[in-house]
Amino acid sequence: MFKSLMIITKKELRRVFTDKRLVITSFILPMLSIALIYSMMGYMIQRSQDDLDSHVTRVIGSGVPLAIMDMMDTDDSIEFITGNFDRNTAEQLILDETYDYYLYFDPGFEAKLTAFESGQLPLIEGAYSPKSDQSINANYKMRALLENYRQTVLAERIGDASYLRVYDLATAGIEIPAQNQGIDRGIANLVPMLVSIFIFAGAMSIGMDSIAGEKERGTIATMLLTPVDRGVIIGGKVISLSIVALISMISSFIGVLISIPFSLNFLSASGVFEMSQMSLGGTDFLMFFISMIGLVGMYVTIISVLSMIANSLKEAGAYITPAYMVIMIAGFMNMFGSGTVNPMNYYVPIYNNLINMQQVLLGDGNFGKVMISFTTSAAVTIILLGISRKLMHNEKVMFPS
Amino acid sequence: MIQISNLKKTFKLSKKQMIANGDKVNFKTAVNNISFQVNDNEIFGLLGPNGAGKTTTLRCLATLIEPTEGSINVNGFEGSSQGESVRRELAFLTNELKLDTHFTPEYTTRFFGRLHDMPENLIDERMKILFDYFGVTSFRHTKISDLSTGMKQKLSIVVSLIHDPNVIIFDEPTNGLDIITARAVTDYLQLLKDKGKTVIISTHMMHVAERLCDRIAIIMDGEIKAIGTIDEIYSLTGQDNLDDAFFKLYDNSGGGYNV
Repeated sequence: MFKSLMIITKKELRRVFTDKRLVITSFILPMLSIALIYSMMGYMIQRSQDDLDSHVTRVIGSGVPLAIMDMMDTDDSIEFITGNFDRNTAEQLILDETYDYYLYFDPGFEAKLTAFESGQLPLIEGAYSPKSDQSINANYKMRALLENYRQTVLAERIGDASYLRVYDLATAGIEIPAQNQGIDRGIANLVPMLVSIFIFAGAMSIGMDSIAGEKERGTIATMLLTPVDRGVIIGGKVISLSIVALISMISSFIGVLISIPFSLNFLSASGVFEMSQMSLGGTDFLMFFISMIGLVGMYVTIISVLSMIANSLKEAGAYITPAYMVIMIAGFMNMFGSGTVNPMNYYVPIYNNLINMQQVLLGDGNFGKVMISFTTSAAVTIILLGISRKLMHNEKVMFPS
Repeated sequence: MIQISNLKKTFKLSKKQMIANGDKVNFKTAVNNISFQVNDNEIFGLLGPNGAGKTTTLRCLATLIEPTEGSINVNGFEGSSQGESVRRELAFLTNELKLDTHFTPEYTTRFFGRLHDMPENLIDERMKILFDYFGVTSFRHTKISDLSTGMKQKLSIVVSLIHDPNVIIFDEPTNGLDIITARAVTDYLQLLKDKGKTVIISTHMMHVAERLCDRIAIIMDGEIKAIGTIDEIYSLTGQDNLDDAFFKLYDNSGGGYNV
């Protein structure tokens, strides 16, 4: 049985690795497209940030006190344009993106400030365009500047600025022991989802062709005439598909790594990631690998069952696409989930492996939980393999016409 | 030797098929109570129109599908319980079975030889004999996708025979072949018979059946209408050629045709 299993596995792998088109579409294209897309996304985000950083905010206003004009004058990133703008004209100029921000001060603002009557506070109005990133950024800048001005006015009013300070606040992240440091939280949240999607995508196209395609072309029926158990035939296909899915996933991951110099601004929470800073050990990698294998087994058998039921490649595509969506949803749920994990989630197939991968990357991996999830995954895989074997014996499935 | 006893095969019909049939019956009997025996050193022909039940009978025999009733015995192995042993004994060739066009004839033949648990040296030996006989040697390293229909058909025959089976079942063996290759195939079947093998062919080409078969069974509507040697069929129908004998039986069974 083992010999036949290996013969079929080798044939399936040969089918993939000697087909230039399959090698390109399954291993090279995902790597290149991911590297390109992520790099471009990172580059565009960086460019947009650089644009904002280098942009000189153009502010127009009426009745602006001298002190505020001085403050704007000292900030190289702000240019104040004096003039008599009424509100409507100013708003139109901001919407046209001629200027970024409009400041309006009550007539006699400074006199009211000095007189200070409780309940009759002078008004400052600001206007920006929510459609323009530069105008939104101008709003942040001006709020910070006006806050500084407020502090100055308060200090003058009270006479001693130190009265405004009521306590000193010192907060710091607790130092995490080296073995629990893990990697950047943003990457730890993202990687399990990417791994999951890459594995499924890698197995999907080849799995569909290897089973539904062979059924459609009549080549699988030829194998049924050999003295090999039908379970062994599907077993060989599942093993080869698992290998292909893993290689495809690794290729996609290389694509992510290639893109890192450009894509860190959206992949990482801190925006900094260096391989040397990774504090994951051998056990962490082992736990990550076990979780990944759990996913591979389930995904490949899900694809196998759905491809078996289908009578054509087209039909298989229609059956597998919803499964792909479920996989993506599970990935997003894990990515955006809160920190606390319900212990029952470690028994939920697919999701449990994603949680474990995330925990491992954060330096909080637990071997017991990884094994619980792996056992659940193995059970699902075995059940799906059993279903595949049963389907191989089903005449309506194998010989639908 | 092959022994088929009271073979019956029914297929469940989908609602769509029931509507198409205009019938409320949710199953179709493809083969009903078929029994025959094929001996070693014999070529047996299954003749019948399309949809008569020939392919279903052969599929049951090859253990691709399970009979609803009845039994199949191939060289002492029961089809229902010893499927793997039955498949080890036989070669089954039909147009529905295809070879992966990505591989070469050499790799494909070797692959199937390995699945039949043959040692490598025996595979080489058998491959040489069959490749030489069917003229596959010249394109043994060409991708199957680049071969002509005839070449593919020859290769299918080679692949089915690689394990030197004792029972050979060929469904329309000369379909798609040129006259020379068709002759090579029928001659080879004769050769296999002379070696003591059991051969079953299904064909609609009466001259092939007349020339090749020791005995034939004419099957219509899932039932055997006549079985015996060619001469026995002639005397049963009062005709002197297989074409007329076939149509006599066809007319008797209520069949008709429009021109």
